[in-house]
Amino acid sequence: MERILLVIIWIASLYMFAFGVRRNGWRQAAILFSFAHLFTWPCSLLLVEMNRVEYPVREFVVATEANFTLNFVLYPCVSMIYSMLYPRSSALWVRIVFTALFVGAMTGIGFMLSQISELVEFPRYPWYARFGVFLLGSYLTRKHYEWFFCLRSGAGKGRYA
Amino acid sequence: MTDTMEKCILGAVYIVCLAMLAFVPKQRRRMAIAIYLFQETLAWIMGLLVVEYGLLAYPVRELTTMRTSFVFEFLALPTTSVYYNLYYPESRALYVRVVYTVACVAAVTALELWLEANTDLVEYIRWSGFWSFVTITLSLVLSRLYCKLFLRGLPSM
Repeated sequence: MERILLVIIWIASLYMFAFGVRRNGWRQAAILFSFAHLFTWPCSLLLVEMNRVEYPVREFVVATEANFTLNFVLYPCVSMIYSMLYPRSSALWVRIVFTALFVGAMTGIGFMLSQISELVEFPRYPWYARFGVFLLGSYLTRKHYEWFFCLRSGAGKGRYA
Repeated sequence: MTDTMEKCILGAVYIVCLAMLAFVPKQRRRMAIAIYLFQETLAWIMGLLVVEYGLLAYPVRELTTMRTSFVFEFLALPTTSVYYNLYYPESRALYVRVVYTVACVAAVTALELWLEANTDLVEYIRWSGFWSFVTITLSLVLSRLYCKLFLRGLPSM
């Protein structure tokens, strides 16, 4: 079961990555993907260290107690899509709804995985904390992305696209 | 405390790396970030693999739930890679570039060999300085290729 889920996650993530590359070019995809690691690894390792998250079934059994696919592949791809599709030039409420939907989806995926599999468990990590952490991560990734590629609201593809 | 020296070294590595990153020239900050992120992604996978297959061990480390070296993969190697690329003698003869690369890799490998011999920060199990040399060379050369690919056709950054 867990293995099938991991394969599905890999395929979905590769598809998302390919979509990002096709849509905004490989430079933006690569920067967004790798910047997400800067956030997701320290965060998930700290949460595991504090016994707030557990990954009973994982790929690297010895090397780390965090899940590789979720932290290294799935989350970076989802947050990449979020930053690329973010409606920068729309009204505030559109941006808030968009962000709430996306971050809600991330929280929902995590909840679903914790229910149907042993890939991840949240012993002392309520949904609103997960929502908050995802929100912070997505915000930082997007802000860095907009700065890096000189994207202003409505300014098109930016300087280094 | 028996591992006071290790902790001091770890702290020193953090301070030196962060200071080095702070001194990256402002107009080349984007290039440095691109290289840093690339190297960190790569180092993370390689670090997990060598520990998972029991080739290396890091007895004294920051996190108990991560058996690889957080500081090496997250900070030290990416920082080295950034400076390797910042001062890469692109317009010089081939032998200059080769000597430059070998010197950089040798410095990192020598440091690691010293740490292996004198501290508990890193232990070779089925590993040797030779393999460190090979993998670090590979990492830096790949980061150089990535950097060139990234900068191609872009305004200077």
